[in-house]
Amino acid sequence: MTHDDALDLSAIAIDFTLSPAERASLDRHLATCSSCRAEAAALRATAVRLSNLRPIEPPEWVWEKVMRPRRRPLALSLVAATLLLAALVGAAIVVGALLQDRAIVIGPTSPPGPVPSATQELQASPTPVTAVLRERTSDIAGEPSIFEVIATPDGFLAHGWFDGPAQALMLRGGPDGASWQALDAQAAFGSPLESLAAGPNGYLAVRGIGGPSEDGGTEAWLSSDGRTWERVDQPAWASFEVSAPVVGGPWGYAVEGLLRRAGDSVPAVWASRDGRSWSQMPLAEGNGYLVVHDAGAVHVEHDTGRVRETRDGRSWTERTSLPIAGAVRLIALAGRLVAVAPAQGIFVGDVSAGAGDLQWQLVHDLRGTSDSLTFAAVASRTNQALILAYDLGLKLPVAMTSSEGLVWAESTLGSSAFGGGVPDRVVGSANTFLALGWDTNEIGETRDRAWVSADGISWARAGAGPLLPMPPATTPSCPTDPSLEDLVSPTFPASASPVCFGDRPITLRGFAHGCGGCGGVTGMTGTPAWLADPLGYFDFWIGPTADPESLRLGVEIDPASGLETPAPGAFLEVTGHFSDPASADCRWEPFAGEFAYVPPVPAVQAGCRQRFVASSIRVITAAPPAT
Amino acid sequence: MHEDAKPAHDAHEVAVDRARLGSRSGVVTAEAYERHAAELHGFLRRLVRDQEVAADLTAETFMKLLVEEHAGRAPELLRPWLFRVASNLATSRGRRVQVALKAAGILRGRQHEASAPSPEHEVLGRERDRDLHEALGHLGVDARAALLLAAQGYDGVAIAELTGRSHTATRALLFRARRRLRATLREQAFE
Repeated sequence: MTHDDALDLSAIAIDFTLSPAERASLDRHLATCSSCRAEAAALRATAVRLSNLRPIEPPEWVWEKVMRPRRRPLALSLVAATLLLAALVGAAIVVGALLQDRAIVIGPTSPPGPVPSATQELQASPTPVTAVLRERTSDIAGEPSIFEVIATPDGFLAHGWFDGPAQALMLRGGPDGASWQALDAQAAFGSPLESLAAGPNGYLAVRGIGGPSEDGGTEAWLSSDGRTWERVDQPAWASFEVSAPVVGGPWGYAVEGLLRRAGDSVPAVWASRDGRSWSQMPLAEGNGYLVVHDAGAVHVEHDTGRVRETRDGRSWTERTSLPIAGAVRLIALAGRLVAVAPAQGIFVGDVSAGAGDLQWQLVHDLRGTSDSLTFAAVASRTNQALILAYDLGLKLPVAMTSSEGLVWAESTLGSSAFGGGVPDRVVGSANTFLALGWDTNEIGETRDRAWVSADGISWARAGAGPLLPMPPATTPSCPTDPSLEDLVSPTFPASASPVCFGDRPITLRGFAHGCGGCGGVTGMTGTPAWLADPLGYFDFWIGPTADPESLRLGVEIDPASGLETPAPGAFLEVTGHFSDPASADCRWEPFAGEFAYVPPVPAVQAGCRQRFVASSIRVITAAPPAT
Repeated sequence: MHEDAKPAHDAHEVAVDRARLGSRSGVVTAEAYERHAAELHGFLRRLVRDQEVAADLTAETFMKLLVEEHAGRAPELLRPWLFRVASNLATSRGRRVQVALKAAGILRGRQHEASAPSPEHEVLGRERDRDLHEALGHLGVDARAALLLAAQGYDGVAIAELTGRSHTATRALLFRARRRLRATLREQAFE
């Protein structure tokens, strides 16, 4: 079971009863995976937060409308009908425009075919369905969020979404990652893609489908230029849910997912030389990791390290197992297979020997050493591989490069590389490595930003485009003598507090509030622990009223101060400050032995500066006794 | 149909409803409004993310109940019925309805516009819920509806019935929604 599977099951368990096999499998995984336990707890905590959302009274006119006599004066009905008609005509025009822009020829649909139980070849139907991605002529509303970037012969292709309603977005980047062009993927695909890969003759995109009249499944699209896409009209895709990124290469494509059957689903791997004719291999034991090399595709099973390979796109043969089990990232490089395993090291196998032994070698051993590297991302291009990592001891990013996979050079990068963190997404084109890092402004506000490097070691921010740099911070309106009401007002952003007040003492009066259900852990650890909490909780809160639903301000207590957390309900006078000096040391770091990104330090430190730290607490009226 | 996942609430609800089933006078609708309007409106407000549209859909849901009551067909289990109708109104033809209602609301808005922030605006603006509200906005309406129904206490099987989906599709919809919501919240925490 992969970490992703464990988290999927953890999420499913919130709403459904797992089968005994699923439950046992999940429990086994969680028993040995601390980060998965943390994320599972966070999923449950979010569910609790959702269920605690309060009802909202409707406006009074709603009831008046419900009870309004059904028969209305003709004139009023005509006005209402005219309005509705105008609105509907307007809607029809909008929908019509979207459909015209989408340029899709809808072909006949076929019912889903039977799900095979063994490796089976799946043929595409000849019915063409095409979509053309047009350049966006309007600005992107809101900040774009990029899921994935792939290398193309002339640069990069990225996909993601923008705006609250999750509008699909695709971006074409130039060869140096400096210039970007936004394409309207929403009009073409209808929703954000799940994954994108470059293959022998172009690109493959997959999109999850589902809705009131559909039953989940996947759509696959092929393109030779990244602009004109043709849907792979294959009924079997409707029974396949992609669960991991698609991988591609000169040989073809491979993807792992779930084959859905009546009331059940089994993991499976699909492979294709051309993206049209696919074979599927059900996986008896569970999920794993895929890579495409020059001559085939390789699958490494998570739980066992079992390795299977296909070279013809139809049959899979057993190869020498990886000597370890657990999470890996795979790279194909110069006829070799590189498996990067957190807390284990780097293993290299030889795939150029045909059907022979892979002859795994451990070329970089992290077991039992004091080397405190955590891995974040891997990438490769012709004759060079790159691993982005984080040194927990030095608290700095690390770039590991190799030209053949056997010898790795380790370079410690500056603290400002990637905007102060370590990205978990990096890709290599012929001349450029591109990583999805961050940009921050002077008050620590952060957004995604592409960073580029020719050698994987010297990194610089990419140029302008849809991935715009963080704008300068706006000057907030600062109350001169802030009250508690000022500080908790929704119109006064948390980021304004350190800007307005620095670290000067502020005295507030209000009622103490407890956490009321806080808990859980995350995959990150914060330092100093009392100030940098990745869960965002405080020691207590203070609000203008005792109402537990009232607006309130979080308060931190430095353990060195000797202050005690007041009882909920007490009326207090609290003196404290923002911008605590300890903010300068704030970090969120992943646990060793995990694949994880490191969040940008400026953003974490900005979050610490926004925390109100108590220097004195005076109880004016004690809390009422608990009933 | 599955029972509501809040047993204590249901026991009372069913007893009251059985006594009113024969009513054609609007009393069932009135009682249902008294008991469920706020939670239904909160559900719709977070689902459609538009104050005017949510209020209109709330009204439309209870108008449908009134029609059923007048016809002597008041549903036995009111709460699931209300959430099913509201969910369908918001998702099945939500886009068309929203466009229409937004236009119609331009006139009506002048009549109902409040000068002070509305209670729901205040609730949605609370600091501790704002991130959740924003993260919900990153989900599609189907996924958002499923999560918000779960937040109302319905389990996955009941949500499948309420939304007319298969068990498998609901399972996939919900777990993807929960993971995406969590990922968005995590991203927001770093902003």
